[in-house]
Amino acid sequence: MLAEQITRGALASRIFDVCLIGAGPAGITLATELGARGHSVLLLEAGGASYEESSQAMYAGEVVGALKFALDTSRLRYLGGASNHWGGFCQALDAVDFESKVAGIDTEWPIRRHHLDPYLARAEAIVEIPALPPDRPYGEQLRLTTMRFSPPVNFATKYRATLEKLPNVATILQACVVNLNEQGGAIVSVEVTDPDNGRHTARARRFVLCSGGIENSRMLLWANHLNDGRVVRDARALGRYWLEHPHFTIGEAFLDERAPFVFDKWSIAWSSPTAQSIRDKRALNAGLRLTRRNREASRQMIADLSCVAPELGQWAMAKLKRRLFCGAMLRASWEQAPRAWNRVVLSTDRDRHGTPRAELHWRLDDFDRHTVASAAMLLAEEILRRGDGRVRLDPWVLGRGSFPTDDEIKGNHHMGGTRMSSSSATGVVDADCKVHGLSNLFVAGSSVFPSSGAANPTLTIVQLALRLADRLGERASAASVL
Amino acid sequence: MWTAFLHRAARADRTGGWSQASLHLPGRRAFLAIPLLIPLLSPPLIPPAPAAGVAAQAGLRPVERAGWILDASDR
Repeated sequence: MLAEQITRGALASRIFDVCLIGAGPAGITLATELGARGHSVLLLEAGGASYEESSQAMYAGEVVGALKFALDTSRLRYLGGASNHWGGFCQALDAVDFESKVAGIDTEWPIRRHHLDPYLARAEAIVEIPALPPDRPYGEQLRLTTMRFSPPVNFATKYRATLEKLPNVATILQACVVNLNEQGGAIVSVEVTDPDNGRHTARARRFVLCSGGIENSRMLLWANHLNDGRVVRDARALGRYWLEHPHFTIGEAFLDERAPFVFDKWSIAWSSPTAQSIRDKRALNAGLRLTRRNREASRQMIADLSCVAPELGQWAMAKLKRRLFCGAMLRASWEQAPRAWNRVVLSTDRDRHGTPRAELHWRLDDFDRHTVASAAMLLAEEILRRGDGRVRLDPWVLGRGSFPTDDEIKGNHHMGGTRMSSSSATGVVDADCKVHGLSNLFVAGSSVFPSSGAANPTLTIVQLALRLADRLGERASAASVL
Repeated sequence: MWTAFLHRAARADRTGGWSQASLHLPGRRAFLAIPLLIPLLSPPLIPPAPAAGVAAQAGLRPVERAGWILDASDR
C-alpha cells in the first residue's frame, strides 16, 4: 500500500521486518525485492509523490570550496529520488576500481568486483539496458568502453504500482525521519515527522538508510549527536571521504574517420586507461569522452592548429573538407581521490524540523588533476602514434592554472561519507553495508562507496541494493525473526 | 587494363590525340573511363602529410605547442 502521509496511530502497534528510509533507486529496489520475498517492509519517503518547492528547500545547504554547486538542485526530495532527474548513463565499475592503486590514497573496497557480478544481470534488467559488452583495446594502455543508456528508468513511475500492490510493503510519503533511537547496540525505532509537524515512532527489526549521498551522512551525524555517539561509535570516518566525479572539458581533437572510435547516440566515443596503465601512472580511473563536433567548430579548431603547425593544419583541413576527418570535443569524468577533508558536516543553520542542514566541504587537488592529465596524455599520445589525429589539451590540464569554475564541474554523483571498510577507523559500514558496532542498521546507496571509479554510479547502487536484499534475507533466515 | 590504356593514351597523345587511343578499347567504355582517370593524373589535393606520428613511432616523446600534443616531425 502507499499512503500520502502518516495517519495518527498507523505505526503505533506494528513492528516491521525492515524499515527503509528513503525511496530513491536503492530504497525502492530493496522494498520491491524484500516485499516480493514476503518480508514486511516500511518504506519512508521524506518528500511527496512529486516535486514540491517546500520539500526541496529542505535540501538547501552550503558547499565550502572554490568549486560551487547547489545542494538543493543536485538531488531530489520526492518519490523516486535522484531517478527523477537521472540521465540514464550506465556503466559497471571496473575490477581495478575495488583495489588499492596508489600508496597513500585509500581506494580499496572490502569486496571485489566478483562479489557484485552476480547482481549485474538483474541490475541491468531493472534499469532496462542490454548487457554491457567487454571493453576493446586501443593500444596497450587504453581501452574503448561502452556506455549503456537506460530509457531512463524513473523508479517512481516504474515501481509505484508494485509498491501499491504488495500487501506487505507500506510506503508512506511526507514521512521525514528526524532521529534514530539506539538501545543496547541496536536501533529500536526511528522518529518520523508528518507535514503538520506531528511526531510518530516507527519500529522495525532492521533499518536501512537509503537517503542519498549527502542525507545518509547528515542523518547519521545528527542521530549520533542525539544518541551521545552510540549510533556510529567510531565516527572518525563518518561524513568523510566524500566524492564526486569531476566533469570538465579538457581539450579537443581531430580524428581520422577510420579510427576505431565508436560514437553512440549522443555522438560520444568513450575510453579509459587500462588497469595496468592506471597502476603504472600512479593515478586513478578516468572516463574520457570524445564528442563529435559539427564542421564549423571542427574547421575553427583546425584553423587554430594551423597557427602552431601550418603544414599539419593544411593537411588536416584538406582531410576535413573531404569528410575524412571529424573534430571532437574532449571531456572527462574521473575518479576523485578519497580525502578525509572532503566531508559532510552539520551546519549551524537548521531546517524546519530543527535538524542541522548539510554543509559540504569539497575541493579538487593536484592529485585529481594528475589523474585526468595522465589519462588525457595517454589518449593524446596513442592517437598521435597511430596517426588517428591530434589532440589539444586545455592549459589547466597541463598544469597551467587551476580548475575552471565555469564548467559542468560535477555529475550529481554524491558518493562516500558512510564508506564501506573492513575497519571502523576508515569506514562507517562493513562489507555487508552494516554500520560498524550496531547489529541492525544498514546503509544503501552510493554513500557506501569507498572509492568511485569512473563509472556513473546508478547501476552499482542497484547492484549493491540487490546484494543487500540477499544479505538481509540471509540474516533473517539465520535468526528466524522475519 | 588501365596500365595498357595509359600506355596507349601516351602514345596516342604523341601521335594525334585521345580519340585514337580510345579506338583501341572496346566501345564507349573507354570514354566512360576517362573521368575515372582524372584523379590519377591530377596532383593530389591533400598534401602528403604527417599522418602518423613518425617520431612517436620511433619512440620519441611528443612535443606540446599551445596545448597541441604533436609529433616532433609536425610542422
